[in-house]
Amino acid sequence: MTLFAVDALSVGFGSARASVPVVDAVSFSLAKGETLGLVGESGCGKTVTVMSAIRLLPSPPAQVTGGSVRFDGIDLITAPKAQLRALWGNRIGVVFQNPMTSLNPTFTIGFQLVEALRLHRPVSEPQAREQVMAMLDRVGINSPQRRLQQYPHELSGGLRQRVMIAMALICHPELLIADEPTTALDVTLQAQILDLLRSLRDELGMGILMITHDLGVVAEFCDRVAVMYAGRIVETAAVHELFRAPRHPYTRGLMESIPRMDTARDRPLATIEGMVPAPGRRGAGCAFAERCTRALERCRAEAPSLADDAAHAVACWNPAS
Amino acid sequence: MARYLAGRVGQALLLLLGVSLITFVLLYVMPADPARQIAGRSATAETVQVIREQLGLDQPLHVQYGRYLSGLAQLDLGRSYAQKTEVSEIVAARLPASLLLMMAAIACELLMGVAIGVVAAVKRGSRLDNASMVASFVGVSTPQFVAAMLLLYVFAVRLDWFPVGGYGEARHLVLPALTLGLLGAGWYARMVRSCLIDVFTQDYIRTARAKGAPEWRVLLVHALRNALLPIVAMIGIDVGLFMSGAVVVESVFGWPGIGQLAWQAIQQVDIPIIMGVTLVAAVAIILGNLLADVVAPFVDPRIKLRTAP
Ligand SMILES: Nc1ncnc2c1ncn2[C@@H]1O[C@H](COP(=O)(O)OP(=O)(O)OP(=O)(O)O)[C@@H](O)[C@H]1O
Ligand SMILES: [Mg+2]
Repeated sequence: MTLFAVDALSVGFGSARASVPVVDAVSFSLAKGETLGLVGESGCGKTVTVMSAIRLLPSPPAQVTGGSVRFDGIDLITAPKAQLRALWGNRIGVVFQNPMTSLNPTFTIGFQLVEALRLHRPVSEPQAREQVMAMLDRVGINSPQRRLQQYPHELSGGLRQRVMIAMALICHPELLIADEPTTALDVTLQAQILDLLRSLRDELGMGILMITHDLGVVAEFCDRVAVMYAGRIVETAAVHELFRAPRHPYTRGLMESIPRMDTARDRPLATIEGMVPAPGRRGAGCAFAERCTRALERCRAEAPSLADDAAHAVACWNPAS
Repeated sequence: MARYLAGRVGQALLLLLGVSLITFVLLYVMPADPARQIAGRSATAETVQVIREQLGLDQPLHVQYGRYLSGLAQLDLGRSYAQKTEVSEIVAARLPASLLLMMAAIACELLMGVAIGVVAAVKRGSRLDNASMVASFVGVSTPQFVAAMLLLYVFAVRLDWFPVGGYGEARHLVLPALTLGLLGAGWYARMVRSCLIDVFTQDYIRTARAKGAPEWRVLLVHALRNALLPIVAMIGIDVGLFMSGAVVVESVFGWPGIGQLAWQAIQQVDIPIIMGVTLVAAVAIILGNLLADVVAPFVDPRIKLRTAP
């Protein structure tokens, strides 16, 4: 059963007339309880796609120029603000990319968490504090009583991200959007946070949309994956399938550029030559053609589209098989 | 906290010493002669000389200043030349009026300035925003006497809603407080607007929306709280400013505060009063800043009280 479906979503920045397209006809969907990874290098439009899909991207300057988004049957693109507010923080939880700046510096942790709960649940202040402490305990924060009195600047990055996760989960959402929840943290903390998300996912049965540029996170954590390049989805498949047989040259390039224990030390790490074309400077053809080793004549003239609803879809004229 | 305050008091005393010295020297080199002023135009040169000796004005500067300081150490501000009473009594009698006007003016500019600033920030780029920024620019650049005269003419003379001047009832307070408040509101409006526009782009505002907080709550709780610190600093400045610098407004509206006293004292070359008023002004400025600094940690928890190096 589909929980969250994004269909041909296009997003641009700027005024309605002179808008620079950043996200181009992106489609993906997420079943209840499923974990989908959205991967792609920095600046390819992951955050813009997802945040505009749930309408959290300020508009202007961002503008949805086409497509539709459904959450449990509700059309988010046309939904009135009041209906969206009833979803945000309640049925849709969000963990943002940067835990260092995502908490309000002038309010205590307790205030911010209690607020998140009481905005949606008719509980008294003391009851709310009880539930908040239980949640802090669950995300692995010890002495929650004391933490409630503290301000964000008194907590480390790892703790802040745990607080953000607790805040996103306090109303037991059906969909959790995690925008690179571990990127700003060091490696041991990354593993801890992923473990935490995994156990909470199993416990609460929520769908997770995990945005990341780390294929390692995808391999460990996700059921399915969508690879994004320059504002488009170029390949989507089940995780094991994608890792077994990546088809898009960009996906293959990404995988080859992961350092591995068994590569010889003196061999240089594989990289993808060239740069991502900036939004607004993408030509008619495939955006990856300039950097692609398998590019054909056709690739520069005509953009390939993602094969519809195939288990392993790829947008490429000359995919590896 | 106690150590912090002790440090601040020490600084303040040094500052007051400096202020008193500078004022004293300025008054000494001033060409106007207080003895002649007291004696009157028709007095003989001998009479003036007698008065001058009585007041010790014939002594060299360092002796006069030393005498003044030793009085000050015993909290004695001297006697007024013109009124023949203790300066401290005269000044104390003026304090309530000045305090009242200061509080009313700050309340007025705060309410108007924050309201205008918030609306302008939310509707930035709109005509309303442009109009309110032009209005606040006019506010900050209009001289006080022009605004005072305008309000006086419109609301006292033409409409007759408020008295032209005086002191004692609430209706007397309206026009002077409005004059100071209207002009000051411009500063607050511009600052609140730019502060909020900056805060709106912060990640934690997005977090507040992502929680499902209604827009008014995002604005008035999450955003405004983060714009509060500069507002508090500005209130601290205005405490000092209105206690000492309301000379024009107090004179126009006949408001019996410190500013009016200063104006009269200057006209009469009443040096002890001028000195007293200057010191009161310095103390008010110091207290205003201290107030802002002590309140700051409560407004922004990242700030800790710390004695300046
Ligand atoms: N407010 C904005 N105005 C104009 N362009 C923007 C704005 N926000 C993002 N963009 C552009 O949209 C593109 C996609 O940005 P986005 O933040 O979605 O990337 P991302 O894939 O999330 O990258 P990262 O991994 O660094 O978070 C970028 O090229 C960026 O320059
Ligand atoms: Mg991002």
